[in-house]
Amino acid sequence: MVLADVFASVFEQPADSFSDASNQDSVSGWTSLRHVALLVGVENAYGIRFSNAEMASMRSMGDIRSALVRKGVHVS
Amino acid sequence: MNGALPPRLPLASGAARPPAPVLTRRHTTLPAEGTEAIRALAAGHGLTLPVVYLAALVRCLADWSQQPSFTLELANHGRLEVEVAAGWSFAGLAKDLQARLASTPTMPLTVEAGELLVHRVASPGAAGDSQITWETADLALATGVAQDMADAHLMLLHQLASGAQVWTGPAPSPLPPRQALLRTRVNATEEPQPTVLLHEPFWRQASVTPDAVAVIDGERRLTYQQIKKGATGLAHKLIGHGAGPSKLVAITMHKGWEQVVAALGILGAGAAYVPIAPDLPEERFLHLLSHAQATILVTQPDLASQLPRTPGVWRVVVDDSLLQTVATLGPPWWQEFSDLAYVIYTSGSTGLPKGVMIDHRGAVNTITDINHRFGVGPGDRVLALSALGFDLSVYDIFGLLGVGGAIVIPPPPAQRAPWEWLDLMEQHRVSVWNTVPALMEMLTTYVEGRRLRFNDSLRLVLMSGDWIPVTLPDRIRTLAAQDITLIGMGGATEASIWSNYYRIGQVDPVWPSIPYGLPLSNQTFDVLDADLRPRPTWVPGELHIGGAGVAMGYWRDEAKTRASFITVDGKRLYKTGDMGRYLPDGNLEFLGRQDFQVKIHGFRVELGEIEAALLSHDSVTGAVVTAVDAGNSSKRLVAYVTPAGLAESSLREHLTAKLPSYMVPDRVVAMEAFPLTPNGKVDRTVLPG
Repeated sequence: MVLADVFASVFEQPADSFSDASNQDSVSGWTSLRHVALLVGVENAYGIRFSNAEMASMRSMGDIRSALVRKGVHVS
Repeated sequence: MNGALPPRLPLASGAARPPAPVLTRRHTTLPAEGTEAIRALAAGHGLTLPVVYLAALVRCLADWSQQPSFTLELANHGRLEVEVAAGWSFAGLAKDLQARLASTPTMPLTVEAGELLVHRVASPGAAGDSQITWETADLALATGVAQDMADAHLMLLHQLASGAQVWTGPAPSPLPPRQALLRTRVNATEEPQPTVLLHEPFWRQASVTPDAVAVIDGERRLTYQQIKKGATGLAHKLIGHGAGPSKLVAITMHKGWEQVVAALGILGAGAAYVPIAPDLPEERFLHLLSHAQATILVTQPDLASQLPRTPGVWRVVVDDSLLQTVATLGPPWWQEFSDLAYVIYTSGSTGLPKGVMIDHRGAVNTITDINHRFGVGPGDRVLALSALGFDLSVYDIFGLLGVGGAIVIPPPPAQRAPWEWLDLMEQHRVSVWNTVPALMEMLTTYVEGRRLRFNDSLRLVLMSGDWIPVTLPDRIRTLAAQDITLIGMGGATEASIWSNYYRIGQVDPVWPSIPYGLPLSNQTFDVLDADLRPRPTWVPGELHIGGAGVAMGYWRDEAKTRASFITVDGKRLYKTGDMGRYLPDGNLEFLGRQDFQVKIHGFRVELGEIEAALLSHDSVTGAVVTAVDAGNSSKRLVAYVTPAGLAESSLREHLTAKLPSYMVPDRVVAMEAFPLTPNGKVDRTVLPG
């Protein structure tokens, strides 16, 4: 599963428009609501659950990738 | 002038318009004596009978048209452009029409309004009467419009026949009797008004159930008795420093139990509270404090040292020591039912916020209604997500604590995190939800995504302050453990939290919005035109709220108070600036703003206030702010400034120093010049996205 594909489906933008630097300021339409949809979308895509503390700490694609790696998930 | 188009009459929604509208025919008759009376009165104004009948039709079409200017086709005369100006008498309108016509029309008069309507008048007929024929595309028009227009038109003719006053005075109400009756019935909301002060029910409750939990804040649980002691201790301190009726005491606090003690203590001292958020830019913070003329500021221990210097303002801290108070307080109380209870500052279009003054009567009226209507009682708990400066918090605090319920206050990290909300709701058995729809949608998205359900104690969901996405109610129901009650509410801070409600049942996905519903107890809604006459069913007009909730005015702002709080037929009304219309069943439909006010995260934002802040930057020569759709029914702000070359970072820094963070646009675009419309206004529709 490619992380950028989850982003693409939540933000309705091409997957190649996202990078690890993509964050709430740089991605248009990254609202509070889409942030929630993104986090639960990532959870479901990788079959994992983030803790509340992890949820609160993720602000960018890089943050999400690191959190997944810490959970032992292979992310491409 | 929008003269190229026929009148914009209310159309049937969703119905496929037949390619060639089928016209239905209706006849009405004005008897001979009425016809003769009109002829005589018309002559006195130098008007001919055909022009008078034409004017009666134009008046009627203008009353049902969204726009007061439109085009008609007049048989033997061709196209006629009309504009019904606000304030015109009937004679004034008729004279204007007579002047626009190249030659005097003759009988029979035949007028077409687009392809929806043909109107004919033959007068005098064989019996000296006036025979009026309407041919209308009933299927294309909203239900009842054709009949109502014909009825209203005949009613106007009878009124014109009845006396000179109707010709020269303000235009009479266009509502046909059936509609007038329904409007009266919908607004017959009188109920006995509880004559208590806003904080009184809490005090009573504290005597009845002193050991019941009132506030849950993180790990802390505070009982009614403890909160009462805290409020009593604070009130005595405040009284000692001169607090009393009609004086404002500022509350500058982060979310926490201390806010509850502060609000109750300030009212207990006879004064009124004004929330001034601690995270405001210093300039705005100091401006609000000084505008409020607050000489006392109530805060929290950890904040006291972080706030800007405020010479002449006495600071008092709410901490645990107050919970040990042994002194007692009231009743009797110092203030009257009609005294000020709180002031909430909202965005103002001319650059500075305005302070809405709500008296005890207004706030108590709304809160009591909601508690009765939805059976809120001692078993209920609310998750208090709204900031103190947002009036939903007034219900959270005084609504729940007035009936023995409890408030669950989310700790700061939980305030924008639905995963924390759900945990808190489960842990503390929250039963009442009260927020803007956006927060409920965040929670719903989270619960759906996690394949969870709402906590089984959740039974009442109140959503207000913004559009409710039409798909949201069904999504909520699917996740609810019980048959929960979903309520949409509306109103304005200027009319005591809420003024209308709608019990949301099955939602038809083709609905453009969730209906606004009906007025709450002791409150009324009028949909009025520019002449403050009622707009007929289906026709958009400005929403005006009347009744017990209407604010006292804007704090220290006579001019804005006069502009927004008006008296019509002896009733004091608040001009909301919101557009809406009555539906045939008496429910209201909300149609959005008629100006440049938008909602960002549920906060009211006047785009003009942001533009004024940008223009206060030395290098900015022009500023336009727009709210663009950010998807998921939310909006984000984009600012445009001239001249080109200004650094976005410097402009954002400038705004951050002046405005609350939700008012700082996501983007600031510097450009050489703004695109203009043909008539020289900034064309907001073609600004770069």
